[in-house]
Amino acid sequence: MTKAFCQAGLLLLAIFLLTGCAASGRPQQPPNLLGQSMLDGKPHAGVTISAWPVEASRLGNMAPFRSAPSDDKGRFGLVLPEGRYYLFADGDGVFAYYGRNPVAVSVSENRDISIGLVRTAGERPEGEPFLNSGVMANLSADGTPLAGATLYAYLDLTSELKGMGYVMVGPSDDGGLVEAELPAGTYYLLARKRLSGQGVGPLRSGDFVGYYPGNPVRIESGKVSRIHLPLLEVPEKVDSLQASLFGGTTLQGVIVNAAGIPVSGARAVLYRDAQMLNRPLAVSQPTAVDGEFIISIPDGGTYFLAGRNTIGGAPGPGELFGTYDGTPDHSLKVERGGSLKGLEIIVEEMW
Amino acid sequence: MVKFLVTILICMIPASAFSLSLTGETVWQGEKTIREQVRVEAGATLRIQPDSRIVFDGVGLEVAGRLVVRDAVLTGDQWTGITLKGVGIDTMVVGGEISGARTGLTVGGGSPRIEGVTFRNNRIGLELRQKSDATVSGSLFRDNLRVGLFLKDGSTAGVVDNRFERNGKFGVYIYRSTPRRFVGNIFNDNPTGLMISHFGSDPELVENCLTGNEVAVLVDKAARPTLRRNDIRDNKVGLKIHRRSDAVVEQNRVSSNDIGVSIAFSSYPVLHGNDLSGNKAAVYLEHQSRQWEEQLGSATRELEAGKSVFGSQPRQSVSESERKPHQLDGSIDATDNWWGETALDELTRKGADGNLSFIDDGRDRPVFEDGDGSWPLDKVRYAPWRTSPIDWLKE
Repeated sequence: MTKAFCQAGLLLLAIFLLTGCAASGRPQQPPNLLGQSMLDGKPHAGVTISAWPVEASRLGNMAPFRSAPSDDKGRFGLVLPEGRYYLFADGDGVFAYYGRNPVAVSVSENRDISIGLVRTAGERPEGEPFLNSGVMANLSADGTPLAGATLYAYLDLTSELKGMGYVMVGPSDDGGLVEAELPAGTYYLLARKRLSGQGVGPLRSGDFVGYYPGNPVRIESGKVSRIHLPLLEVPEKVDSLQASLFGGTTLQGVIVNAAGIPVSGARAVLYRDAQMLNRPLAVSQPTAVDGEFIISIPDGGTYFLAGRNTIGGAPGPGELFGTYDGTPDHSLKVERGGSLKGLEIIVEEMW
Repeated sequence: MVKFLVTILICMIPASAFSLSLTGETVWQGEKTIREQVRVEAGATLRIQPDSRIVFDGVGLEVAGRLVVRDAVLTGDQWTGITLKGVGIDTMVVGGEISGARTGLTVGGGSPRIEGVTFRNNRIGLELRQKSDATVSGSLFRDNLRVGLFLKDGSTAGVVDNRFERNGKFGVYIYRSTPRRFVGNIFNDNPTGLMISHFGSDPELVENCLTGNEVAVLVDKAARPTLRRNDIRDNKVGLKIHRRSDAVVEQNRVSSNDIGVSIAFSSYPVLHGNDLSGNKAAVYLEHQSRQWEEQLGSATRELEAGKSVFGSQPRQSVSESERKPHQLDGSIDATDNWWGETALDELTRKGADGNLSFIDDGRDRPVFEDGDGSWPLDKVRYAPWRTSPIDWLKE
């Protein structure tokens, strides 16, 4: 116990010295965002972590918060005001867009994350494009072309780079090539591949995600940009960390059918508004045979909860859907950092 | 060749389990129980020989390569069913039966052929999705718990000469799809024989026969099909056209139903050249008002969407401008139809704007209540009318 405590203390001290003093030359508070940068499953040194507040109007160039380069164990630390951030990492020939961006950071508790890096080197598409204006992208994972992935173009950060975006094209062909017709403008380009084959919804372990390191991309009128976009496989632990992945406030319960039998393969979806029309604030992983779900979010407040077995668009005929009926307007209240348990959502087939 | 023969021999031995992944050529023959999910990989072929009986124990079969099934029974108790993923025209399921599955056969994309298959006692018999261009012909869909044949996600399938009987909710459900051909199908004894729903469902439905259903054809939520030369008889409701659906109904026989054509909620179909004789009520209007549509139509649809639709809308979702009726004069165009011998006398007596016994509209019920107001019910414009029965051979 004492030995472990000493090791942890030394690690914190090292990170403190590595980050705070290096940046300004005066003592600063210890980092509240800690982590390790990994490449091919091994720690990677010399990587700088950048953080953009979620309120930023645009990403790119110099981030307002940057760490010192990671040490030879890949460790880094960053002092951040409380809030939600987009996290990036970059080093010599490597890059990362943290797969669970934006991330909630608290001043009262340390957050420890692992950032998986991808190599930026890769071939841009050749050959004649089948479009007049837009982007041709070679998508790759582990240096090999990634087929079956979807390219997303976002106009700005209002959707937090989630959902269907302005354009969603795919799947990429066997060579990893995908083309998107885009009018002149500025775009954020991301790519995802879901093993489920769906175009939207939370990523699961085994899915792939990638953010073009050159974002935002400027598309000129009548021109086609050729890019290489590396993707990274989502690690397994995303499934096992649902209770804390997106914040310290949790909602737990069970999704059942009208007979009270737990429903597998359904998700709990959480909205800020009663209409539940816009993109959900949070989506649980699919339920197992016990029907149980858990959602973690950063903040407390009033939310609206539903359950369904498909993601994206309105529930179609034959699909399962239902709302939390513990209150007449389907709302629930939770304190920041609090936990609501025993929630029940009854879903039924929509015809 | 040696490898092929070995595969056959192995598969002819009674077995309780198969490997998860099939590559190369595989043949199943005889009686088998499958206890693990099986996948036919891209480039591989699975053949299931005639008279085979394959029982799936809670699992299913996924095909990314090629599947050839002839006269085999594929069954189980609540098994997953067969899923075809982007298979080509050389995949075919011919004859035999698929039963007891959650979804008997799911076709995601591709263009397989399904001929003469009996889909029975599945939750959904056959589901065509992801723009599947499959061809479904000569098959029987009976006693499936929800739907016999389900077309969705832009399927352009050909659906020809099939029979749909006693399915739990719908014989066929066409959802946001336009089959390239929908001809010669028979619907009998279903709660709803044929459902065409949502904007983007604009099929041409030709020479189908629908008898003995609660509702033979239900057109809903801004679908715009064309029905030609269909035989719609002895149903409780022949055609039910609901919620901003503007079907084109031409040259059909819609007769001997309790209600021939029911029109409701701001739907403005066109009924021309049909035989509408022998129905207790040939045309029945409900909650159908030009004034209501002009003043409340858009707002109500938005509210309904808020109540029943959750999650972000797909980008290709219908806009209100597409959904609004283009011409509103407070009438339904039902001119040039044959209403029957008895009706002809009444038409002659009452003229072009009479209150006819076989049409139930604003002449019978001038207003209906909705919310805080009352609204004038639309009327059916039936003149001119045909004065002799329709000669189908000449039409």
